[in-house]
Amino acid sequence: MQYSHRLELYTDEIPQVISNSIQEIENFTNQKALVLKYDSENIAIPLNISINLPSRGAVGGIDIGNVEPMLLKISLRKYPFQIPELLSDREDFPRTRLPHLYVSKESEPARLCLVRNNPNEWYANHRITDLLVVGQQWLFKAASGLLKDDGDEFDPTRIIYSGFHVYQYDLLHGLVQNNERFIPSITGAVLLSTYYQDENRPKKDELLKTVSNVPFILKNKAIEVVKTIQQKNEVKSSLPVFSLLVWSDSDFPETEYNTELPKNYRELKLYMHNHGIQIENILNVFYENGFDLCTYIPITHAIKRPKKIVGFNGSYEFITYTIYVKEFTKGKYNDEAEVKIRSHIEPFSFDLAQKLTGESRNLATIYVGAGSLGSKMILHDARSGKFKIGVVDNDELLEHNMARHALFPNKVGWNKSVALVNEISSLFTTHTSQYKAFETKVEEIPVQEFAEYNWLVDSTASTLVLNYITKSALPKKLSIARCELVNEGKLGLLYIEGSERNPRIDDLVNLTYFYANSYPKLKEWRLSDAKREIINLDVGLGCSSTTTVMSDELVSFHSSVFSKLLHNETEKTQTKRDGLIYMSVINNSDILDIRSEHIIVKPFDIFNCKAGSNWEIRLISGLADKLITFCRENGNRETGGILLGLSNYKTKTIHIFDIVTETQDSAGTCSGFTRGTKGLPEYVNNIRHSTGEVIGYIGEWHTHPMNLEKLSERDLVTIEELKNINMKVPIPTCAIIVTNSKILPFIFD
Amino acid sequence: MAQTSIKYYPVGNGDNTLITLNDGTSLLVDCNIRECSDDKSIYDVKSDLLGKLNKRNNNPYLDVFILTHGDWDHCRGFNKHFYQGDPKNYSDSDRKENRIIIDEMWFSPMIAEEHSNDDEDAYQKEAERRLELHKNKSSDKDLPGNRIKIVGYDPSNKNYSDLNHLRAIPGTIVSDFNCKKQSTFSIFIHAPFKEHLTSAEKDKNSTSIVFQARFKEYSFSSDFSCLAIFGGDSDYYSWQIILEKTRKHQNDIKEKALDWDLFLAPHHCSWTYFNNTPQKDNPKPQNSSLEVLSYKRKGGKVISSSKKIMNNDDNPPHYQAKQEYIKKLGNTSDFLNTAIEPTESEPKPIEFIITSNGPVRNMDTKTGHAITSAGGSGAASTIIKQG
Repeated sequence: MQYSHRLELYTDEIPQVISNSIQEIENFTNQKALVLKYDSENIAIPLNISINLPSRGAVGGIDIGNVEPMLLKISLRKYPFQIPELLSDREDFPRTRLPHLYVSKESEPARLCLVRNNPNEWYANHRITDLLVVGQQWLFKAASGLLKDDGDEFDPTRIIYSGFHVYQYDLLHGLVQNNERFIPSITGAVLLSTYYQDENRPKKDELLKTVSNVPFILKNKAIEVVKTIQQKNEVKSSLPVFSLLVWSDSDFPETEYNTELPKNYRELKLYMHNHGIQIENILNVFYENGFDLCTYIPITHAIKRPKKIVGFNGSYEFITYTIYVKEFTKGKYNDEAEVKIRSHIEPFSFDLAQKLTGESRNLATIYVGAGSLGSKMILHDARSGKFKIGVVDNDELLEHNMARHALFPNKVGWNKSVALVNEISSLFTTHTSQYKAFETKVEEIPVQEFAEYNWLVDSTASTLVLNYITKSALPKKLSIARCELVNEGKLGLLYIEGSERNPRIDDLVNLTYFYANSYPKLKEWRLSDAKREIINLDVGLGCSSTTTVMSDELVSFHSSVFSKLLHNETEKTQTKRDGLIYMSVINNSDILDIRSEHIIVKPFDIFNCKAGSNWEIRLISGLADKLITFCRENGNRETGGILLGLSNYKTKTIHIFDIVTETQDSAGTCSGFTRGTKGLPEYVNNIRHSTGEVIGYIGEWHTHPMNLEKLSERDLVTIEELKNINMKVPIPTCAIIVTNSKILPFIFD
Repeated sequence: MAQTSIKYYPVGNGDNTLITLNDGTSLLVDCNIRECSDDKSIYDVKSDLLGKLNKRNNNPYLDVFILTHGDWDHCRGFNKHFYQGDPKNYSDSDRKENRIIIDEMWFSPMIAEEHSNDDEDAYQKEAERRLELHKNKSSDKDLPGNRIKIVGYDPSNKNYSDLNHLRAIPGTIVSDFNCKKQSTFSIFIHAPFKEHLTSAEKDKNSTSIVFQARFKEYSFSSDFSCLAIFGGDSDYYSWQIILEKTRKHQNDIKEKALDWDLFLAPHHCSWTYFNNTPQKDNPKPQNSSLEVLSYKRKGGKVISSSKKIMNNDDNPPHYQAKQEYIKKLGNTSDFLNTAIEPTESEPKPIEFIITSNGPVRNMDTKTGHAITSAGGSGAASTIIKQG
């Protein structure tokens, strides 16, 4: 018997858009289409769909023939925005034996689930004949045993649901598999869940999240905790509740699909009974033990299937029902109580995050700075499934942070690190994350804390933090990076230290200034920075914040680039690594222009002061060899020049990036060297200008070809003269003696 | 996970069949890769193969190549499209040309001697390179791209007896492919057998590697989900011996070695399968050939990898041969010709998915994607006069 035999011809007017599609069907099938009235809202077109069958008939003896009568149900009002439904026209269609069917009553035609995700979205890009081809494929696969998606697996029931139930499949499967009953007399377990409801939230989107099992011995403690939270929680938007997981004693797997699921308690009771579960007994135990703390009782039914469920690691399928139990008391259960079905969602886990992002961010990172840039990078890491993140920030989130920060107003007033850790932890509600907030300044964190991490990322743009990281004895295995946005966000800079902290982070930061001489984008920044006016934002009474003006998109853009690059770097397994300066450039000109450049930086040559001043000089790679070569090439004649770089009094470090050799008016003999000045001031000033007044003269160098490894008498006199000049800048006085084999720095405050 | 399938390519009079197992293992039985042009009547076999085959280090590779014999219509395109030589020397240029690495080749020395053309010579040369590595016990001999299996026996002028561990002889079952043991797939070797070497009429008769591909649903399944017979260009004389030997050793019962769901009509549906040619002088099929066809299982299909079969005296394909097959099948629709599926103007491979209930002809899954469309330059470059 076919459903279409009961339908009448549709005689009213058909919208043009449907007529066009009917014409398309007729062209495709070479047959005149019959238009039937399905109901007041829909028409139906009967079709015969031919399919190939395996040589010995449909797999598994499924009753599918090589010509299947189907019905195409089309909405008169909503077509083409609503996809037509493809239904079997057979009353005896083997609906209980096939996956990828929506649950439907025996009295209604079986409805094929043809495409994943949003079918209407799919149909927006396809024609009605495509739908028929997909329907033909569905029937072909059903007959060939190929409807299962991935090998020998069981496809779960397609339910029409109202709200979601978030739980870890493995948790529920483990309880059923191991028969972990709450008490021996019932085939059920009690679960601790949270029910999320919100006046502003559509009923359909109400959420239930299951966190853990409640063993009998922890019953009282669990009830006490739930009661306390329920009393404290005034908003009632998230209520801890107890729910039930029930299963059958029978080991016999159920191969058939349910054609209809319960809508009220009476139907649920019968349904459970048919599946070998005495739900009333289980509810009695639930009430006797005082778990009835909410007007809803979620009950998750475990159905044993003959094969592993598609996409999961077990053969149990779970369907969750929520009963509205307002009128329930122990032993008195209202048959008419409404039952709703919830669709399963696997909780967001580290594994799922890594699977979805295609990344394995397995190394632990501590971020110093949870400002706008840091917060976005931290979120990228967390969303990618990084399991261990530390966040250091002693600052509070304020209203003005809403312009660019990753957090939302509900966290205003919170410490940024605590708020951020709170948010990223909440991504993984059923997993224990190793996320830790350090609500303090970085220098106050015990050094051993850093040993817990593989990477330290400084996103503070703070010189104070830079100096601390530069000089503190951080664990050797810790890799260090720093990022900052400059030039109003048009330039993002990411620095990554080399192996064994050489080049060190301050080498890279300062070298970047120097490279303004070679890279136009750096020069643009340095010139602009030299003229930059800092804006004071009034953010509240007695409170102000200094910040630059920059759009949220710019911060997000650079944070994404940095996050990705850092991840790529952390994946590298080589033991020796050079330093990296990475420039992410975005020009908000007529057409947005995005580019990047990078500089690999070899380890610096490091020398300590020979005058006992504790100063250290750090020479860009190759410069020390160059100086020694000058000494050797000039035979017995002394030569010399000046050093270009900068000094840092806080770290007692002089970074030297270049030298200037002797000027035309210089003169060298075997016992002395007079460094001239011709063209030198102009040259140095030009560099100072290009680098934003940061890089310039930083000292003198001259050779001692006779290998005298100390300052000569004449040198000492000169040093005193230089000190008077340099202290006005102020810079330390630095003189490097270069012999045929050594670099000997002498530095005086 | 791949779908277990057999794909018969439309290559005119010639053979080119790809077997894919659910673990992705690929076996190509013969090749006849012709130059493609815009003419859709010549199917682009190479592109399709590249889409199906796995890649290792971005290089396409085939697990096993079985050359049934060296006639050009069974090995055309080998030299151009398949990589030959030390696999370590696979170059950027090879990659650019998409040369397919053959991890393991099956080689019958006794058949190789009977044929000569550029592609067959290249196949033989590559086989001998690999055999030499194995003879010399080279440390590279077992690398993918150096592996080889000897099928059948050695001709009088060759002696590979020191490589018998690489040999598979008629009457045996092979379940290792490309150094991987398969639990649900195997091959029963039927030919070539020793009689081909000693037969007084050996030059007159044509032989090939003949085998039965055997698929199971599970390793423990008692029955086969699909049995497919590949006979190359073997003639009725070969099949006479195959029938006799298989029955003698009761392999038709014990191993179901003659049963078939898919039967690739030998020599492109030639009359030689049934009797000597010309058919008008030898119109009665040999009983042995008919008896082989009687091993058909329910729903069995014969595939003619050939040109379109016309009602004339051409051979192959031969019209009367087709009629004989249809008589045995009992159903015209179970006889499939690669030249006309789905259409003569644009033939496409005939692909069977292997299910537990036997092979099922795959159905085209393609649907249009874009709902929008735009005309080409046709109308735009045409002068349109409007009133």
